[in-house]
Amino acid sequence: MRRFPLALLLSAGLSSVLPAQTVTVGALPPSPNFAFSLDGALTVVDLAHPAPVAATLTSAAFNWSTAPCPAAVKLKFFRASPNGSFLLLAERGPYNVTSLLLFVPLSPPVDVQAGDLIGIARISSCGSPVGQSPGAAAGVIRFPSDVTSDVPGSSGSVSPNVTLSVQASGTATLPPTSPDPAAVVPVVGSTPGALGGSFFRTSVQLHNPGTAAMSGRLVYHPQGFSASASDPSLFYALVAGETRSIADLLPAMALTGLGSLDVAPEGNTALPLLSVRVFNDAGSFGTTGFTEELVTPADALGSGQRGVLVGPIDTARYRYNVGVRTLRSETRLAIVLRNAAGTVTRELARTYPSNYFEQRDSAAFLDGALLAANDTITIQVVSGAAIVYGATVDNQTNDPSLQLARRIP
Amino acid sequence: MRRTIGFLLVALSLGVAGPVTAQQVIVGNLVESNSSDGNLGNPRTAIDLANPANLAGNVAEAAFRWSNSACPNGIKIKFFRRSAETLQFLTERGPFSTTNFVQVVALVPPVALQAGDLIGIAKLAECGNATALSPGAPAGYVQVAGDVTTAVDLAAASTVRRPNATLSVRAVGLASEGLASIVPVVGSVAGVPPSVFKTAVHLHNPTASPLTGRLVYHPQGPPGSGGDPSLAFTLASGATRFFADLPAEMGQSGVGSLDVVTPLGGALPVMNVRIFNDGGAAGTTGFTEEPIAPSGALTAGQRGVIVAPPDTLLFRYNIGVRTLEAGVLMTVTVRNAAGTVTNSVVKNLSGNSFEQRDSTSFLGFPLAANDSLTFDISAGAAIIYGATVDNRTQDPSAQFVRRLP
Repeated sequence: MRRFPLALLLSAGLSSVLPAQTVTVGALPPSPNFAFSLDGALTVVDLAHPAPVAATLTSAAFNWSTAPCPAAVKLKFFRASPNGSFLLLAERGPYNVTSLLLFVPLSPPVDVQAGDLIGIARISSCGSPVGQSPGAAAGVIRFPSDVTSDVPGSSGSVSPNVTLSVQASGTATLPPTSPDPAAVVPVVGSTPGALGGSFFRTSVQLHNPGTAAMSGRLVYHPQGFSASASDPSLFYALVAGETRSIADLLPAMALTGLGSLDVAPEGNTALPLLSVRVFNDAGSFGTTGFTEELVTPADALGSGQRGVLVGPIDTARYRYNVGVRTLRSETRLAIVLRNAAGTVTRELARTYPSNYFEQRDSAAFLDGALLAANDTITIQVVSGAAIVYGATVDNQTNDPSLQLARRIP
Repeated sequence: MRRTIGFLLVALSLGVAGPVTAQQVIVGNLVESNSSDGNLGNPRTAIDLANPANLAGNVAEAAFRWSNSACPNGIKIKFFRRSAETLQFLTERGPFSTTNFVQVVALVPPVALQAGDLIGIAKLAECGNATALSPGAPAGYVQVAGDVTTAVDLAAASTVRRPNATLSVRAVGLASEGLASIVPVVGSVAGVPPSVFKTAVHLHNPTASPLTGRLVYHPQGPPGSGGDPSLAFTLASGATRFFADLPAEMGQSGVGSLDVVTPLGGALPVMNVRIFNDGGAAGTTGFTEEPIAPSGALTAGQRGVIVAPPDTLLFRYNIGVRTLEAGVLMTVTVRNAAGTVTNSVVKNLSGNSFEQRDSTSFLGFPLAANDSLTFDISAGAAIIYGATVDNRTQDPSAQFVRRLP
């Protein structure tokens, strides 16, 4: 077998953000004519004027019923989840109200996606948010508290046909040029398993299916870290039709552990075909494992998309891990656990850095919730993009299987 | 025996399935006939057993070959539903006249069929005969004296079997369901003793509405047909249903391929399919297999590659092909690890068929370690995979032929 020279590869480029047109979220109606009268803390979210495109918001303005009011107001940004929840993205403030119409900076700026919403919170008993009625048909939703985390829509009250007086402004952001890897092998490893003396390895066959030579690097990102310039890589070069075999990838790169692999072709060369097998190596007793395919960024779950993982049939006989590999952006996941009857038993959210990988046992992934037989885990990408998988391992044989969370149409 | 355990594979999807779009329901077969049906007198009814309806739907048009092109009001088209050895009469249309040897008639009103339903044709008058192709389909057709409007007992002495012949009558229409995705290989079969391979299936409804459909099992070998066994499912919103060994729960054994059929516009369930060797208390070894959308199959003009195992002593290698409706004509080119072409073979497989064979049987020559196999599709469409099996643990892995850019 031919050996590969080891080399280091600079990390894939980071996202670039270019200025574009001015974007506003929310509205400042010309003639505010009422104040929200609830006593105590209050958060009002404008449902009628979402962000039209992704943007970086740098300033805001709002009307208030009374001035002055010290440290009375916070501005908040939400994303509506398909399950009816409002996911808190960011908040700024508290702000001192010094006039009935106040202009304030958003520091640091707030990044929003198309469809994100703005809200305003009263955090003292001085004054109230104001609005105009009649106003926008979609109106607002009110929560009787200073909302500081994700909140179900059912805990609020919708008021249609009113326009809340709060607006944030900034500049549209264009998508990054091409920071994503050409393709990803979501998980590779050379590492002891959790039980029974198991030891998992990763064999790789690279094949050039084209008629021209190709070259590039396999870049390893260890678990628990975002991709960095110091991540190790392995150079490959293949003539037309050639196939190379690596019996255990990570030791071939002088590595051990668990991580994720990028395929980075050089120049304009095409992607090689990879046949990757992750297996438990029982020595002379043989191997048990699965074949893992390359995943392109187009196959990842993108913002607003969802997929479902199905847990094992028997949680005593099988252990279950969930792996997440993010792409170019920080990625937020909304996670819903259901039992076999379809009843929701847990909801939670997770946020991962860009180009990050981790695999955790299901209880850790689900914030301590124990998976029951035939439970399902619905993964909704709130922002960013990720490849998510579930890995089932038989506790008797240590044989692993893998299910990718495929996009649901 | 090794071949039987080698059907196992790890599958990653080749396409994302969406709601199915309009497809055609077909029952019967308008073959080029070379003989008349048997003479049971007049009137008589012939019923095609070989070409049941492929999908549920409404057939609105029929065509048949008749031996006389000028028979007034001499023919009826009939439909039956099979239950074991009984053909339940559903309905009939006609009488029709012939003005051509190949006569096309409208079925008014259209006839609602379920997958697996059968078509028949009745001769009412002493003017011409139904026709057939012989030799033809092994299942053939049956004949019954009279203008049948009641159930037919296939075991009755009065029912005449005509095997190895294909009746020339067909009806077509718009299906009310369609093929949404394919699980290329499933099985419930004994392997090398004491291994026993099974196929566990989870079905999950990811939508907010109830979800219905059918799982249709096509056994290895013969072309798939509307008469293949199926299992209907209904899932409440968010619900998950589990089958410990799906083929067995469908009353099947052996190796085959599975269609996921859903109503037109209906959502597709999330499926988690695990094929495994059931070692009882010693545990399981297996893999997860994903359904593949029909659009994920390789089609004419497309190419894909799989790579044989790195060690042909420690691992054996099988090749599986599931064709779509039009079958497939393809060339397989084998290269060694250095990229030199060492052999090639042309393969021609019939429509909606499935076969998995060890690589030597499939290709006609043995493979070496790290050989690559390039599949060039000339006509039709197919899902192709290579399955590697560890000879020591009998644990399988597999690689699907992915479409190259």
